[in-house]
Amino acid sequence: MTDRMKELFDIARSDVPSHATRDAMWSGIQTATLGAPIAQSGAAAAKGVGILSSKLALGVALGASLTVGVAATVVAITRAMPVDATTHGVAPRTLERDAFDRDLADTRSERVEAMRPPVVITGHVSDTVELKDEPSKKDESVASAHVAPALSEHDRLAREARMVSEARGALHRGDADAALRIVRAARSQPGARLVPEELTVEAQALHALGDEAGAKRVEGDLAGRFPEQVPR
Amino acid sequence: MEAPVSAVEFRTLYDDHVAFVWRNLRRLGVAPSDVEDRVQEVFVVAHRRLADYEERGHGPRAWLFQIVLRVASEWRRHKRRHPEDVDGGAAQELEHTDPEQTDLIARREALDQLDSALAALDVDKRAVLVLHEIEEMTAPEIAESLSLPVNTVYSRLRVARQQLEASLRAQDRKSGISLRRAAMRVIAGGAR
Repeated sequence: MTDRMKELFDIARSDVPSHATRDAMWSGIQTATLGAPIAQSGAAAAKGVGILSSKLALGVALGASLTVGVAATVVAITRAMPVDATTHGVAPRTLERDAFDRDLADTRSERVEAMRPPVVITGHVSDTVELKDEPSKKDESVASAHVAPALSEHDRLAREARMVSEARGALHRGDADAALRIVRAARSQPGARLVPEELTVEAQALHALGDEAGAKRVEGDLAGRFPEQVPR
Repeated sequence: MEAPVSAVEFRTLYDDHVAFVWRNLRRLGVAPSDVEDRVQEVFVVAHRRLADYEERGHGPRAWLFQIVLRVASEWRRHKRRHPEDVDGGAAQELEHTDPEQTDLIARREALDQLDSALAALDVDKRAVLVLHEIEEMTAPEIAESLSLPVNTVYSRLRVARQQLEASLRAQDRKSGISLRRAAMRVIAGGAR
């Protein structure tokens, strides 16, 4: 494997959501799943598999190790989630694809309903609270709703940076049209802070599209407004 | 008999695996602007399907990855049917605290390159490569996760590495390293 591949894999390993993003996503999940009990199936109970927490704890404990003996005592393969047959060439084992797709569709509609802006749920359900059919008053008191705050200056800058990055990604993929749309959208954001970068990408996209006149115009704009940032 | 799962147990599952789900959705092609929504979708499905989870010797990662595959596959179908948002959907993103701007962009650019190269691979090979090289799962684990023979995992891994390398080389030829260097010079000059 080349050094470059190793480097890219290293970067990919550290591609994780920030704490703020994790919390935001958890709020959405929590909102969508409150009131939806997770029940251990009667069949699983009859098999003596144990309560779900035991299963999860065992799963975490086992981690990545492959121990056939342990697996033989724990695994009940027949109830496993199927792998996408279209991508892996294997037939789903127990759950029908339609059922899963319905699940996704239901999930999406629930989340759309649950995520109606601008109300979001903050804080976490108390650790001792179990998910129930109806949220209790205690749950409601913990999960206080409030109006989501506007994006901070830092958030706006980060969003703009990501748009620039997406535009560059589109350029790398050879999709200059998309790059142009994205970077222009980024530049049209109120208080855009990365105008030099955006103009650079816009010029590159125009070159790629064969619009040399447009590219020269943008490069002229870049040179005129930000002479110190023109690539030499 | 029903045994409800407590919120703390599900939260633990989320905390332990959200990064895994995030990374793999991204590497399987889900756009940055959509990844947060799809992470939530994975965990909402997981919440609903938790009763179906059976420990098979590898922990919840293999089970979650199967959901990730489905969600990513569904996302790709959706994207084929619906053209890209005018701004790539970035305007709808919830943003998060990030490292310094320059570092952020450089890292994002590297990930874009990787994702572009990965996109040239079939999803089956991509899944094997990502699980092995990024998630550092063993071949038997991957075989279990994807319901494949171990030998198939090894052969897909070998081919996937070759294809990724070729894809990265092609990417360099196409866009030119000069593009990256020019962009980095601009960034190094500092944001206004």
